[in-house]
Amino acid sequence: MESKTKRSLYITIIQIISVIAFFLIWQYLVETGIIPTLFLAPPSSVIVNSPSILSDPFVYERIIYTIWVTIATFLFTIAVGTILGLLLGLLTYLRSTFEPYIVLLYSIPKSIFIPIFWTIFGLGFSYQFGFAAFGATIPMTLIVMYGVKNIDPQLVSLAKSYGASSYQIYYKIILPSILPSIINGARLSLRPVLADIIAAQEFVGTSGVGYLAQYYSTNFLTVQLYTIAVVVALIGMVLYYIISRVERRLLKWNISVV
Amino acid sequence: MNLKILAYRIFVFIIFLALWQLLPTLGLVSPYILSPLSSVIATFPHMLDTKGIIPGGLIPQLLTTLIELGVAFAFSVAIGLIIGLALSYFKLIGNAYESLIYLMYAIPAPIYYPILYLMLGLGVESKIALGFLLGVFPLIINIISGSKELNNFYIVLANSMGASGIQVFTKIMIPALAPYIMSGLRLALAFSFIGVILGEVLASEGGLGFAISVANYNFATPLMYDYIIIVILLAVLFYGVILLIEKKVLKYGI
Repeated sequence: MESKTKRSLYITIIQIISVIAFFLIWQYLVETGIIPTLFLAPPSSVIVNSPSILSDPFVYERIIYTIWVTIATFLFTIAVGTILGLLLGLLTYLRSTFEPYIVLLYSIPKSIFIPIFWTIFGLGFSYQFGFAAFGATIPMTLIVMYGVKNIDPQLVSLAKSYGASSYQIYYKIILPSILPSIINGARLSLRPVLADIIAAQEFVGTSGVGYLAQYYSTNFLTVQLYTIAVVVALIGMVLYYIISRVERRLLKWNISVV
Repeated sequence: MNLKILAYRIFVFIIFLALWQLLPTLGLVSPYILSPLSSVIATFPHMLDTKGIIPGGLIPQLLTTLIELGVAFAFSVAIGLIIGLALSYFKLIGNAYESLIYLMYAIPAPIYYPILYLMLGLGVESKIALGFLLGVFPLIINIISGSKELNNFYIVLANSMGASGIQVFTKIMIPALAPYIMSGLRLALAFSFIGVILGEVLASEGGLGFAISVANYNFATPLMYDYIIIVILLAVLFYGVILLIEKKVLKYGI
């Protein structure tokens, strides 16, 4: 037991040292001029300048907008992906007909469809929402579909032989057993949602952090660019942290799946 | 049963093609958004025009993309294997870095791209860097999660029999991790491709994604669809080749 706590202490120490070292090396590379400040802003100036950069409504309104679009798209993706996954999982013929096409769609780079989406939806919210929802619904659907496929058929036949109605089978067996795949799918589709929204914003339009990053980069505003990149990185990490906490909470009863 | 499903699949595909042709020709969808299948097919020969909208036509764009993908994939594999195997061999450091790697992986990759093209310019380098950043993480994460499944008993046994560190590494860890490495390589290829194409679509001077963007900006919608089809065919080709390799070469795999 004692060696275990010692071990986790070591792990924490290594983590803290590595993170500090990372920022120190970053600072050192700029201070010594190995990488010019045009390309790499030192962390010190990012920290010093971030309050004035982020308090500008030009910036913080776009950050809040991006978070809002991400959450809306994420919830939509979970809902639609779960419904599609359930449908495809339960109807065997539908699944075997569409499975190769969905797998194919999953394996191609989604960014080739950005131009189609902006010609359909214009430059605003619906374009970013539509593109990200399209890209992220595919993995969500696949994961839920395989979750339904892997339900133990013995459970269903047992419930049937005890006289369970089909309503009971859905609510007592199918839904609880696909809950892990829904949450797993949600965790895995969070990344594509945020990434696709930022990619869409970078491609065209004047909204969101993607536009900000693009604008700062093309105008050589390096400090602002790195500030916004750090903010986006933090958004990604915080959302990921929240979803993994939710996952751990909801799946406590089912240790075998975690 | 199988024939029936195959028939369904073909039927769905035919419906898809028919809708592609009919929706724009009946005026339900603007031809600027979706050009009819017939005109998409009719513009296929124009892809080889060296003096068209796309400078140089299809061949140089295809070559650019393939070179970028090749270099990005090679870097992802080399660095991913080194980091992944090192982190699985040195358990303590591996445990410490695992959560840091997951946190870094949570950063949405497109935000790297403005930084990369500020640093490396609009040429092939920035696409290679983006493809590498997207491709390296799945490989590392796959190897680490594989090393967690690795039965510690074998290593303890080998150590008690007097095996050296190198022997443990080459005789136990590499064979045990091979399936995870293989699926990591598959993901690395897919994600490098995603990164390269993403970079080209967003801002570049050449490549298939660049051609899609240029065709789009010039309202040459049929040409855009031609290049989209080329990218899809490439993705299918990579997927097929990897499946073949896994089936023929790695018979023991998962």
